[in-house]
Amino acid sequence: MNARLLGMGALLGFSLSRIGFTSWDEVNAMFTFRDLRMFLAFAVGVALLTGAFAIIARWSSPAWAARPIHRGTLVGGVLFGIGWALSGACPGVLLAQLGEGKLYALFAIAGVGIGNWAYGALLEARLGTASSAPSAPSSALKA
Amino acid sequence: MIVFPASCGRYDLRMHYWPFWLGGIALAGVALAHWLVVGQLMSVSSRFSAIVDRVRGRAPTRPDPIGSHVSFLVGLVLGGLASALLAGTFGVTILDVSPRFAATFGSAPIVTPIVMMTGGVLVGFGTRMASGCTSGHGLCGVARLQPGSLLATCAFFGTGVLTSMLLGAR
Repeated sequence: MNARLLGMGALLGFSLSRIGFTSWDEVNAMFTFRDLRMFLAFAVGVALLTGAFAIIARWSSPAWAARPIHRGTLVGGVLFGIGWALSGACPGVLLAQLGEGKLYALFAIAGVGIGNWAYGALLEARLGTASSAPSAPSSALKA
Repeated sequence: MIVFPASCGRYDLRMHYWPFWLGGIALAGVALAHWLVVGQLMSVSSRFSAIVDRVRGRAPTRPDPIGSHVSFLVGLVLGGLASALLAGTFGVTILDVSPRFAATFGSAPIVTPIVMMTGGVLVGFGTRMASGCTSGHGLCGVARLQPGSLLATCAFFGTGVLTSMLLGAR
């Protein structure tokens, strides 16, 4: 076990749970605009992070992987959105749901494994969309 | 003792959800902490991909040791557990998802595994195809104004809205 990653996972899982992302009803309320709270939380998160990353990028030169548009970007995003609306969960949320006792997440986790496997086995080589690591370990703050 | 602000959630009334600004600070804080502590941008779906690749016996798309991915995923479970225990909302459910889920799909027990697994397959296939999910693209990619992340995030929020609207329109 890697204690640092365990801790980071726990912080994310706790936050996702407290914001409401682990609730099917809250996610549905967000997507149907009945409650903008989680949309706003996401927007505030992105806005704060944009400032923070801009400062970091100016202050050091982090080895952050570029995220270009490729042949899987649009269709993959479209499929993920449909799946998120159905299952009420994005990948990180599924694990936090298990912790909350919501064992129906196991069905979705099995599905994620199947879908991930299927894309990797059937289309990834053909479409050439395999991504590298999201970022190389930083030189300044090497773990 | 931290007092959690009053609920905005209308459905799971026992859980006191954070207001939007606190949620935003938490999301940004976790992503920033992940970068500072781990030295990599936060990403969840690529950890699923690495584990799937390992099970398939293929070279993983990211070189980190498999234990690091498992650690992060176990951490997510523990974080959800801590939240539910502290809020007093912990409860084991398998087929009973939520009132609106039942109103949308019906309350037959078989509905839950079918909908959850179908959604999961789309999430797994789509996030691998788009090379990222809500954390890697939505938070860390959009915040760096990466074109692929902006497109993927517009796509998954867009179809999330569309799908939910169509489901609700029945």
